[in-house]
Amino acid sequence: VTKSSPPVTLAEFELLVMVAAFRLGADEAHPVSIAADISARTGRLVRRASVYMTLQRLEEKRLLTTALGEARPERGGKPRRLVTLTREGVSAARATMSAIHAMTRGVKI
Amino acid sequence: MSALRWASALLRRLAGPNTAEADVLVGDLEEAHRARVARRGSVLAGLLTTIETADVALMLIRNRLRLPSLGMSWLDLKLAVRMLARYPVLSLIGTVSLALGVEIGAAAFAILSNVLWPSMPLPDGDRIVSIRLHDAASNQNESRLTADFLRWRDGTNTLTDVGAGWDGERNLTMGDGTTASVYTASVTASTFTLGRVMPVIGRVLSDEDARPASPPAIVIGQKLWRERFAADPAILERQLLFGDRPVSVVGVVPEAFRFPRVAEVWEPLRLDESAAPRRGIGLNVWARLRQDATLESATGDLATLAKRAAIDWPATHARLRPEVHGYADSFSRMDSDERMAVAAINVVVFMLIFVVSGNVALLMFARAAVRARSKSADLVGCLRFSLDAGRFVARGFVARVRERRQHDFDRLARVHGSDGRDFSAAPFPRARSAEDDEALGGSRESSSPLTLSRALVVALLPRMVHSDGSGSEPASGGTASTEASSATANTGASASARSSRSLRAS
Repeated sequence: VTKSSPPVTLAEFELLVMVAAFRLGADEAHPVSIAADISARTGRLVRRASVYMTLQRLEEKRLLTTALGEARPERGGKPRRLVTLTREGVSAARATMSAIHAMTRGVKI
Repeated sequence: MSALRWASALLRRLAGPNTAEADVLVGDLEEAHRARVARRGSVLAGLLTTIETADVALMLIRNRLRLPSLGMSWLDLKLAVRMLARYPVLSLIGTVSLALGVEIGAAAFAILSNVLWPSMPLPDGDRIVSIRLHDAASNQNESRLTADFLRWRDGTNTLTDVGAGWDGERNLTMGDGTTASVYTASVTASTFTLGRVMPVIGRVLSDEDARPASPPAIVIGQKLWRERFAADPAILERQLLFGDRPVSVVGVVPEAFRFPRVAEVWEPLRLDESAAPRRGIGLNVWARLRQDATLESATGDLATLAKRAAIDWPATHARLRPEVHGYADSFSRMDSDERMAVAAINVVVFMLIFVVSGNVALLMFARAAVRARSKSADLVGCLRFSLDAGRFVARGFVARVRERRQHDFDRLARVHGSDGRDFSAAPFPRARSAEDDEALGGSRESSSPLTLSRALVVALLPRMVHSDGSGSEPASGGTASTEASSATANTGASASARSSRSLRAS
């Protein structure tokens, strides 16, 4: 009997990136919008280099995939790199959020 | 928009051959920049885009070189600054030592590199070469190079901006009407092309100025212009007395340009192009290596021209051999042994830096050792360590005194015909009589002062090592250190008293 491996858990910033990508959707999730979304919701300064690095790491873990989008006039005719979560990515985000909810439920700090 | 332009260029360069990836990065940059301009204005947006580009560029470089992240965080930085502030004496000693070591090392390296690997302080100065003709018969260099210079200038494939000239000193009338001696150089116009000089005002010398019919013209250096002519632009309209003839200043060149050696004034070299081989004035010849040329290829190129010259002028050129050297090397006439000796200074400097670094590392290690031993970095930890050390030594001292005295009891019991159990009830300590001393072999308790001193040294040592910690908290540190010293100073005495009390009780 093989034991199923536990779901991958995410670091805090990885979770923020995954949730932002999920919220924005496959057509709008790209590094600039993800950084802006995290910055707007958490109020923290988000370095775009950190978003690039995190996306690269998550893609290597097969938790998301990226693909070139259409050329956009507001970007001088250059395409976006659009982000889509994989099934493993959604599971990992869900597992991490569940763990956080379980730990924080009923706790008032 | 200029910030965006250079940022795009930088990112494209760093993104490498993957143009799609570069497009995405630049697109992100432009999109984020436009959003910032709309929210915060162009000035602040430009600044933020610049910072962000630098951050992304570092990330790309790290990715490209496959460097691991330094793992440094803002917290690490704050901790480092806090530790530096907390131990100011140690920080000061470390900083000054390292600064001194680095300063001496940098100075020594600068001197050595100038001596061993000299270079002209001009753009691509290491590609400027000096050309000489060596006479194998007389084992001397030939300086009358007019005919050869003309052939080299027109016939070489490996050199460009071939120029010639000579330098010396001459009088010049200054702005205030006085006359002073200045370093001068008579050079061909190509010399300014060779040095890639742009004039501050006016122009540099041209081939036209070297024609016999042209009016006498000179170019002066910026330093001379500033110091002796108050940087007056009207100098271009004046006539000065240069030697014994009036000349016009046609331009001023930057201060850094002193070619061929230390010239402050340049005049056109007027060559007698009809001069016979190995006749005419003495000249120095210089040139710049072409992009794909080396010293060896240039020497080979000139050797070909020399063979032709030997055929054309067999009487004068049969034994002449051209040599091409780095121009700056011509000022450094050191043989290989002398170069080795100078290079050996590097070893001394390396050892110095090694000693300095070693000392700083030792200081850090001493602090870390004391911190680890006392389990705390503050003065309370230091005090605890001192007391622990004192107690440890005192316990050993007490045990040793007990053992020694029990031994004395046993021996005295044997001498006086009584057993040790009677002595245990006897009042103690009593003054030892001469008889007792004799019975004990004339030995008194000689180890007590030594042991006491040892206890004091061991107890005070950690305080001395940790003395930099007292500087951070002067108010509490003073009290604590007083307590520490009194406690440690009394450790030996109190140990002695405790040993007496315990024995008395027994």
